[in-house]
Amino acid sequence: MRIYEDLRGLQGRLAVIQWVMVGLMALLTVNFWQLQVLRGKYYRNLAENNRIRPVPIPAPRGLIFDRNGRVLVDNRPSFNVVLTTEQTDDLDWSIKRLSELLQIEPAAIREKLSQKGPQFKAVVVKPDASEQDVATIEARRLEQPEASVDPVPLRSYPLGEGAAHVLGRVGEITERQLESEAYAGIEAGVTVGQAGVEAEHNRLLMGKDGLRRVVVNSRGVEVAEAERQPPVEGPSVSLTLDMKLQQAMEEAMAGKPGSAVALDPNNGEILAMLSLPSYDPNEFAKGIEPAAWNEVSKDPLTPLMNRVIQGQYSPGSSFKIIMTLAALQEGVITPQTKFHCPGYLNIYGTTFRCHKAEGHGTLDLKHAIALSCNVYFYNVGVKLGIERISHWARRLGFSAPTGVDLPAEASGLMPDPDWKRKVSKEKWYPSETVSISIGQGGVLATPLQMARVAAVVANGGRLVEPHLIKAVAGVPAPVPAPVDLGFHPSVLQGVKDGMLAVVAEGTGRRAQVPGIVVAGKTGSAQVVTHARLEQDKKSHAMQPHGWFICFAPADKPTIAMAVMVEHGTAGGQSAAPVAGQILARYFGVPLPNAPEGAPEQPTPLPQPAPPRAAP
Amino acid sequence: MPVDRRLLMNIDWVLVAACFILCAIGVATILSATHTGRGLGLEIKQIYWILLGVLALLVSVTLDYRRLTDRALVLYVLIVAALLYVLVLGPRIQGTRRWILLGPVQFQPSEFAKLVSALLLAKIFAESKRDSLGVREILGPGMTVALLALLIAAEPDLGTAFCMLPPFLAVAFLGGLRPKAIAAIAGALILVGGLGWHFALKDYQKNRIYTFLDPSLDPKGAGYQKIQSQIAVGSGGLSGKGYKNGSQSQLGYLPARHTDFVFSVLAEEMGFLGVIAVLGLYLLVPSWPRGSRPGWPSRSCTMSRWWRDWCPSRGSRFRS
Repeated sequence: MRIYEDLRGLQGRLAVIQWVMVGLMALLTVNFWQLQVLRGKYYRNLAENNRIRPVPIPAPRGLIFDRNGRVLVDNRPSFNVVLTTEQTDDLDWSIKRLSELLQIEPAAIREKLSQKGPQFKAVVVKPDASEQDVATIEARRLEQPEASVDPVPLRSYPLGEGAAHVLGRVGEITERQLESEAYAGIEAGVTVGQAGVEAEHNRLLMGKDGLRRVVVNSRGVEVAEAERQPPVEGPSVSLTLDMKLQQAMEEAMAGKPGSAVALDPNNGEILAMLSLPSYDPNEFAKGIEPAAWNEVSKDPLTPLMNRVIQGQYSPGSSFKIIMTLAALQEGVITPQTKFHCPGYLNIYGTTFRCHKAEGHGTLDLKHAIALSCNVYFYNVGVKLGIERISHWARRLGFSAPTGVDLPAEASGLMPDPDWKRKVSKEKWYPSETVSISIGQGGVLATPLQMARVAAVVANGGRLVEPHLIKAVAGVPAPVPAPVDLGFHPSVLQGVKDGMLAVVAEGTGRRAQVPGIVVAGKTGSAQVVTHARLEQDKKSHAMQPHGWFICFAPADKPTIAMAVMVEHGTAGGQSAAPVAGQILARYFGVPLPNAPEGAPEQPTPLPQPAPPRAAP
Repeated sequence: MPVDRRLLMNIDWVLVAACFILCAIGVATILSATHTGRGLGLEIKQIYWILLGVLALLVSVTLDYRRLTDRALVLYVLIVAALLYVLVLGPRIQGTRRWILLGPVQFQPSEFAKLVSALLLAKIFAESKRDSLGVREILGPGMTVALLALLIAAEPDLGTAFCMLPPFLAVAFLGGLRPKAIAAIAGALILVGGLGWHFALKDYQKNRIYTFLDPSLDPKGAGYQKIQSQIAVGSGGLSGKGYKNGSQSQLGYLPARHTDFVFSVLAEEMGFLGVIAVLGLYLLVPSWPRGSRPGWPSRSCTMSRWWRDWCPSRGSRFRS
C-alpha cells in the first residue's frame, strides 16, 4: 500500500529532523559547557567587577600637638554634599534642584562636574556643608537619590593664621605631585599636605585609607556592603613648637609683614615660627574656592611664602656677629682691638659711610658691636679678606639650607670670588669685601639661618640643625646632633660681650626684658641706596628691613631667636621691641609699657620669674 | 462534536509532563527576574497564558484536526486580510505596524500566521499524491508562505518573517523533498541572502547583525545586552548562583531579563546543570521515541506529528 511506503519514507525523514535537533541541542550544550564551566571563572570575575565597587574610606590624618600636648592640628567631622551623576536620568534637573537647595550657582556645579575624574566617583558639590544643608539633602533621599551626604574628617587649625606656614595646609593632590616620587602610590583626588609640616611629613601623617567593597546595581547605586577594611589613622605627631610662644609671637608681630623664629639653641628644636602676612589654612582644608586661591596666590605680599625659610634678605648689621666670630677665631683682632670712626672710611677709592655721620670716635670691639659701628667692621673686613669671611659664613650655615624639616627651603647667598667668577665672569673687587663686612653687597640670609647663628653663640659654638618633630606616636624622634664649629671659648665670650652690650646699652635696648639678661644684635638691611632713601624718606617700600637676632638668658640660654620686620626701618626700632615682647612672654615677665629710655633710669624691676624648667 | 476516545487513552504523558515542567520553570524564572521591580507580577500573566495554552491544547486534541485542515485555506485568507489590515490601518507603535488592538486584548496577526502556514502546508503536502517532491512541486506552497513572510517583513518585522522559513523547509523535507531540490533551495537561499544583504537591508539592520556577531563593537549600546547576558550565563558556572541570587539579573545589569533574555537568568542562577535540564526537556518534546503506536490514524501522520510536536512548545513560548 502506498500509504505504508509513504510512512516508512516519512519515518526516515522524521528521524533525520530529530537527529538534526539532537545535534543542535548538543551544539548548544557544548557552547554552554564552554561558557559556564570552562570559562566560568573569567565570567564570574566580570560579574564581580560589575557588582563590586571599591570605595576608599579616607583615613583621618594624624593629629599634631605642640611640645606640651596642646592641639595644633585637629580633625573635625564634616559633611560633603556629593552628586553621583550615574544615578540621575536628568542631570540638568538635578543641578537646578541642588543649586536651589544649597544656594550655589548652577555654573559652579557644572564646573566641578567638568573636572570629574573616574566614573562612578561622586563629585563634591558643597564641601563642609552646614547642618541645614545636610538635613535638606537627607530629607530628599528618595526624591533625589543622586545627591547624598558624605561624612569626611576635615583638618582644622585652631591657631588659624597664627601658625599657617609652619604647620602648613592640606589640599587635593596636584597633577605635579601625582607625577613626583614623594607622592608615589597616592591616587588622584586624595587629600595630601601642601605646605609646612603637613607636606614635609605627609606620608607619616596620612595613615592608611580603609576600603569598602560595596555591591552596586546597574545604575551604580549602592545596595549593600560586601566588605569593610577600616582605615588606620595617621599617628599623632608632637612638634617642638610651643603654642603659647607661637601665639605670643603672633601678638608681638601685630600683623606687620615679616617673620620670626625661635629655637632652642641647645638642640635646634624650633619653638615658634611665624611668617606674615599669613592665610587661614582652614579655608584650604575644605577645598579653597578658585577666586580665593587667586587672591591669596597673586597677592604681592606673598602670604603663601614662609618668610622664615624662603625669605632671603641682606642680613645687614646682624652679619657683624659672623664677622666678629671669624675675626676673633682667625686672630686678626682681639676684643681689645680699637679702630677710629670719623663717620666714614676712605678706601679703594671709595668713601664708605657709617650710619652715624659725625662718627663714633675710637672704640673697641664690644662698643663697636653695641653701637653697630660700620667703620670698625669695614676695617675688620679689610683685615680678614673675603675668602676668610665667606669661609666662616659658610661654616655658620650661610649659602646652604639649614636642613629644617620643611619643604622648599631657600639657601641664601654668600658671595665670594669663586661665586662671582662663575656668575658674572668678573674678578672680585676689594671694595666689595668692605660692603660685605656690614652684611650688604649681595649677602643674603633667611631668618632661620640668622637664628641659627644666634644659637651658635648661645650654645658654645655648635651649629644645630633646626627641626620640628619631637615625637611620633609618643616615641621621641632622634635629635640631629649639633656640629661643633671649633670656636675658642674666648672667641664666643668676645661676641657674647658685644651682644650683651647691644641690649644693655646699644642699638638693641628696646629688646630688654626686666630680670632677664638678653644678648642680641640689630640689623638694618638696606632696600635701596642711602641716596635714594634720602630722596624718598616717607615711602614705606624704601625703608630698610629691620633685623634683630638674640638669645636669652645670657648665662644659660634656652631660646635663640631671629625677628625680621620688612621695611620696619632700623632693627633697633622695629625688630628689637618685637623680640623683647616675645621674650617677655616666653619668660613670663610682664613688660613695662615704656621700654624706651628704660636702661638709663633703671626703675625698680618686678621680681624675675622663677627659672623656667627647660621645656 | 465527535471526540475520538482513543486520543485521550493514548495521550503521550511524557510529552505533557515535559511541557508542564518547562512551563513551571518558565514561571519560576520570570518570578526571579521580576521580583525586584521591573515587570512586577509578570509571572501571574504567564500563568494565564499557560492556562490559555492548555485550553487551546485541549480544544485541538479533542477537535478533529481534519476539520481544521479542511478550513486551512479559509484561515489563510483571513490571516492575509489581517496582515493587510495592520499594514494599512494598524496603529503605529515604535515605528512599526504589527498589532491589532481589540480593547484590552492586543495581538500580532503574524503570530497566527505561523500556525496558519503550518496548517496550510500540512494540507497541501498531505493531499499531494506524489512520492517525492521537486522544486516545481514546492513552488506553489512556497509562494503561499512567501506571501505571508513578505507581508510580515513589510510591517517591518524581519525576525518573525524569517521564522516562516524553517517550518516550511521542515515540512517540505518531510513531504519528500528530493536531494537535488534540497541543493537547489540551499543555493537559492544563499543567493537571496547575499542579494538581500546588499540591496534590501538598511544600515541599522546590518549593524544589528554586526553587533550580534561581535558585541564588543558597541558594548554600551547595541552590544550591551549580549555582553551582559554572556557574563550572566558564564558566571553561573556549573551549579549556578542560586535561585533569586544572580547578581547580573538581580542588580539590573540585564535590562530585558524578564523578556528576551530570561534564559540568561536561568543560566546564571541554575548554572550549567540547570541549562542541561531545560535543554533536555526541550529535546524530550520532539524526540522522545514514541514511534508507531497502535491507534494513530495513519493517513495523516505528518499532520498529527506536526501538530503534536510543535504546538505545545509554542504555547510555552507565549510572551506578554
